[in-house]
Amino acid sequence: MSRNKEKLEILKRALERERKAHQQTSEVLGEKLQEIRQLESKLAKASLKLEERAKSEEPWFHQSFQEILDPYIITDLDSNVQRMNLAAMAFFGYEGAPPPLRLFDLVHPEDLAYTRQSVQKLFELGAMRNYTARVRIASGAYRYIRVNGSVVYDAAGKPEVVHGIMRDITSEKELEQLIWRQRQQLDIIVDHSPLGIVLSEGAQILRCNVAFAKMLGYPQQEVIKKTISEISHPADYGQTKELYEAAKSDGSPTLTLEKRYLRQDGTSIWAKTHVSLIRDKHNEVKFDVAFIEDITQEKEMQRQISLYENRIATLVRNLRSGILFEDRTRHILYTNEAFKELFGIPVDIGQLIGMDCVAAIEASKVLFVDEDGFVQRVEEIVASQREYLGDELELKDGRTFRRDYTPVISEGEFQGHLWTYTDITTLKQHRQNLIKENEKYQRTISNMNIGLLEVDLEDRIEWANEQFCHLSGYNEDELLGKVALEVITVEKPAVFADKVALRKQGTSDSYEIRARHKNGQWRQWLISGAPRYNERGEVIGSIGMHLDVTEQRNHEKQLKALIREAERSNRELEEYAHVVSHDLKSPLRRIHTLVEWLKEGHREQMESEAVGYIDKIQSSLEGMDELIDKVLQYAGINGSQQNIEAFPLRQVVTNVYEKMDLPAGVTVEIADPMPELKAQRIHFQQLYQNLIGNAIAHNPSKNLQIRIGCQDKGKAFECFVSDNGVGIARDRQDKIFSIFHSSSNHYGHTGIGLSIVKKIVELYGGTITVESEEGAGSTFRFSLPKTLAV
Amino acid sequence: MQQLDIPTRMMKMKGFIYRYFLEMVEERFGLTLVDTLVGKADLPSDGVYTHLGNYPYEEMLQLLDALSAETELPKESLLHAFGTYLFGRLNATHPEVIGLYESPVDLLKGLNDHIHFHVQNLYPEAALPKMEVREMGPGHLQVLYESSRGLYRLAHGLMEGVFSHFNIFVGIQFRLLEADGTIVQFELEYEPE
Repeated sequence: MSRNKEKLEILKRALERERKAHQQTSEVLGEKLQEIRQLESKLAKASLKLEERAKSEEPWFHQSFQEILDPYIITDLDSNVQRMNLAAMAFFGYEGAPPPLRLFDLVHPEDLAYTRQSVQKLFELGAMRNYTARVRIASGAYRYIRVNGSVVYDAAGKPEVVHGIMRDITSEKELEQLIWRQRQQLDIIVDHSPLGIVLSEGAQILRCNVAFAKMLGYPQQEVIKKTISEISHPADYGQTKELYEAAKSDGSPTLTLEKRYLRQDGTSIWAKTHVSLIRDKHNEVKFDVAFIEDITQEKEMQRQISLYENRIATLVRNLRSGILFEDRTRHILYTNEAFKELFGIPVDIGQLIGMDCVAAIEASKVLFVDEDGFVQRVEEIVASQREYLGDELELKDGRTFRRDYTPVISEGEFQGHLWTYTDITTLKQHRQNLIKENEKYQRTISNMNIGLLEVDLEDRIEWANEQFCHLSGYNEDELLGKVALEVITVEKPAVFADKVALRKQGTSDSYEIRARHKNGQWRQWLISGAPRYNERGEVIGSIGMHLDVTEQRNHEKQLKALIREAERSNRELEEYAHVVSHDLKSPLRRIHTLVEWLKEGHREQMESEAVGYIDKIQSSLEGMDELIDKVLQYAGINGSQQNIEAFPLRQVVTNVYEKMDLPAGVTVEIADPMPELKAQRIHFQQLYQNLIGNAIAHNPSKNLQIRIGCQDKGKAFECFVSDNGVGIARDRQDKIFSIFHSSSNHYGHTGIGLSIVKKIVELYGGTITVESEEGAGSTFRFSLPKTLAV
Repeated sequence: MQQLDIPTRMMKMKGFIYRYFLEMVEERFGLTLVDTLVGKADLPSDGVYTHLGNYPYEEMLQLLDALSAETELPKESLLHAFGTYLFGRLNATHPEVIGLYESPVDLLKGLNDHIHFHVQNLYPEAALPKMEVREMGPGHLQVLYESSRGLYRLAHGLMEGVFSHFNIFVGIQFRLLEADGTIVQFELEYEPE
């Protein structure tokens, strides 16, 4: 309820205000109406008077009309001039009576539209103020005029004539345009100036140009809102203000300073700022105009230069070379510690500055081997004022200095002499060592029996050693600079080209190729090729090591042929032995059978002596049969991979002597342990058969002890078979292993047994020896490689 | 320029301006606020304005201050809005005058040369602003505004109203040639016909 009441109150008050306003308006209107009526009646009277006067007192009217100083014109409603005063006539350039003039015809065509509007308004409003246009005068020229005019109404309130006062404002207008143009020009200058231009009043920026806004990275409008302190770097603002206040109070017209401005992006620029303080007539500063030049880059350059100078100074101070800088008159401007040390000067650098070097040279010449030469050379160099680099000076104490001289010329003017001394003693020694090493290396290479060849990426020969020339038959002149394959003919150039491609990928390898010697002979070359690199690790070609392996290859071929030949004859021999043995055995068996029959069927008819002979024949036949078996055995021993099996050696030995039907009094003892082997079992049966058989065969006595064993000797097994029999005479020991050399004439012994043993041992890669003394028994030792072990 | 010498306290403003101003307040913020403003502003006129009367310039400032305080809107924005509103009202009450002009430029020129001329004739006490219109090129106008009152934001809104009356979009920038806003240079950019 109270809200409604409140609303009502508001409305009541508003209504009250409106009522009062209405009341006041009515009062004003009433007053105005009154005034209008009075004016109307006055006007009517005046108008009547005027009309009468105009009619009766034409000359008077004319005269007062003429008294107006400005041009004054009366026209009809279509702007035809009815009257004009002298000033108007003068303005239009007429003397005496002007011709009929219609003002509309005189208006400049460009101002016509505006004129029509103005006239329209003139009739609507009854008056016209500050109508400004160009009109043509008698001379044909146009003049700017400003007209204030009004319509004169007749007694009936109808427009009758128009009258107006005119002012010639041509020169005013021209001036205005001139100022306008100048202002435009100024704006252009300001806006196109590379310098930032700022107009400020106190700290407030009033105007700035594009260049300044750009410097700060703000839109121009933004800058205008700022104060000088807002855009000044805080570190510089204090100083800026101080300088400014000082200039302000001491009456200086300008002020120049370097300061930083803050950019919108938070960075800052260095700028040279030139401020003009604009003062009013009381010498109070009203405005400031500042010209701002961005010198950020210059500042940075200055900073770089000073950094650079510092660095150079540090560098020189710490240089290992002695530096001596003399002025034109050869007095020391600068030197460093290293120089002092080189020349053994005991005083401080400070004391050296300014010293006369002409005298100093004389003092220090004693250091050098060639004292006078040193002095003379310095004088020579100084006189020439040209650069001399790399003079080497030998000192008496064995050191060597290198001296460089540079005349310092700056901006076309000679500034002084710069000497640099460097101790190159160790360098020189090093250099000499290097040269020696290099010579040695070169000698080695050229004397090597490997032919060396360096080629570039196009396979062009860059270098070849003597041996390569020898190898190929071409001399250096024929090789250098040529493409290798164009000089030297090889059997398969394609292979060679593949290798060249490999080198480019950085791959090394070896290969053999057939190449033709200059004399036309084909030779076999073993080539090892490797890529060559430069110091940046790029492949720049390849180096080839060539070895003529023709002879070796020929030898290898011959050897292979020989081996093949030997194998073939071996095989033939085996076959031959086999055939012969078989062919011998069948007639032998027939003889044996026939002799048996003779002995059994005719024993009674034969004398006992004959029977004895027959027995001997039979015994001989048995010996011969055994001999043939052994020869077959011997021939049959070969390294065939067939029948390889694993077996315990001890078992083989046991089987052998158990089957042998040992004569009474013979004992065999096996020493533990015996290894397990992987081999042809038959070979080891034959081996022990023959060794045991051999021991028994050569033993006439009844008490024979045979010992058999095998020892692990690390790399190999050493096996032995020993007996306490008759032994072997020393001079016969080296013959016993040869085929058909028996130590006895015993019929039952063929003399082939030990040959079989030796052949078997050697087949397995072992060796066999015998230790024996006549009458004191024999020991056969043979080795077997561990590879045979299971 | 003569006006510059008249002390501010002696200057008067046309009553219709006040009426339109309060109308705008009523329209935008309601009658309650009008009531509040009139109550608080302690006006010599008591908020009673007639179209024909003249009132001290201070009253406008007082009303403006009060409105800004009540609405918490900056005075500049309020003046600017009032400029636009004022043109609308003038157009509604005197369409025959506005209709005489064919383009916004003519209207702006006419405002200064003719309309103000007659206003001055009718009301010699009124302190009228002076606007100098310069055509800088197609679509570019420079207006130099001079007024002892520094109500340039009102002029700003008025000019926008003029252009929008002709359905032409205009971009207006200004810079104060006098810090108190008594001389302001407006740059108008618009789509040329």
